[in-house]
Amino acid sequence: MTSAITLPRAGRARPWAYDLPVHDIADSALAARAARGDTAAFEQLVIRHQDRLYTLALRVTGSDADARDCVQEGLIAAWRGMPRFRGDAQFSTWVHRIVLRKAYDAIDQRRRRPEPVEEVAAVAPAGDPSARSDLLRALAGLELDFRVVAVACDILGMSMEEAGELLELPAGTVKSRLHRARARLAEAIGSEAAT
Amino acid sequence: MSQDDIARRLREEGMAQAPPDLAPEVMREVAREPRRRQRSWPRWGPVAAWATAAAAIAAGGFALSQLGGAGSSSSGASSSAAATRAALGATAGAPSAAPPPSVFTVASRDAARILQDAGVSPAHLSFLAPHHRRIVAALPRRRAQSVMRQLAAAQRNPGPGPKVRVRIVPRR
Repeated sequence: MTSAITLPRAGRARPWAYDLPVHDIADSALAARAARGDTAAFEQLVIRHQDRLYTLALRVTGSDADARDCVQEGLIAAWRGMPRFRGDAQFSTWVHRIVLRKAYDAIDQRRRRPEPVEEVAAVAPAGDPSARSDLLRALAGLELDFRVVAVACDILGMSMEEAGELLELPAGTVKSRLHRARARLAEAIGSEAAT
Repeated sequence: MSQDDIARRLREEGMAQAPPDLAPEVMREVAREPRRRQRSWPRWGPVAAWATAAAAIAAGGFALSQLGGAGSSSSGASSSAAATRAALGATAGAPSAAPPPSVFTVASRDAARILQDAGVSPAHLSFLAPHHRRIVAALPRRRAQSVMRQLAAAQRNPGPGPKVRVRIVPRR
């Protein structure tokens, strides 16, 4: 994320941003270059956002393998869609939305084709803190509508407006769902501690 | 536990790191995608849209003039007409005043049967109703040749009932 590669010049026009190290370039400038087919710029965007995208997919699907597939497919879909990306929304919101849709698809597919018990038991990867955190276990058990709001606002640190844009919901709805999600999590942890 | 505590703990414990080979794998897939360049539509978009509309209108007018004036062939259409004649196996000595062989006047019922066999959807076949009298069908080149052969035969031995004029446009 902090690599200081300077992007190569392309064409005659040379916006000021190209003279800066990559980590100083705004997403929008990198996205504009990626839209013109610049894979180096797209790679920087991938490196910059991969942890957040992976976290979103992991916390929504609850499966390491699904999360990996969602991020990979989402990023490839984003690359294919780059020429159509007009910059009306932030690149970050746009790519999060693509990965979130993939995550919803993965959940739908899993519902239609129930996994064997042993695979479900092995869902949490060894290095994943959710294996030992009571809170993350409770989060995984939360209804999808509430879980996704908690992930967007509390884990990824999005504002109500950003989360609303991601989830295509009014900010007021996001706020009320977040409040209820936290309340349910508190209740779940309390009952777990009591038992 | 308060709402703020829940939020704080989620922030501290919730983030996960992407697998280290995820980005390289994505970029390998990206490299396999065909190279593309951004189109220069944004700058020329409005002009190009008008030009496309004008070209479409001109093409439509040309097609109608071809349909309407089946007896006279324009010089622009002569090469495609010759190609079509060759496809139909017409003799080299055919009279030059003959209508372009991509246009056929056949019985409506025959046209419907031939076009339906060629895969033209029933919705489009409604244009073969007697009050329409003419229809243009764009078909894949190979299928178009076969259809033109059948229409030529149907034209030579016209069936009963109202007639329609069918123009076949071979497309790639």
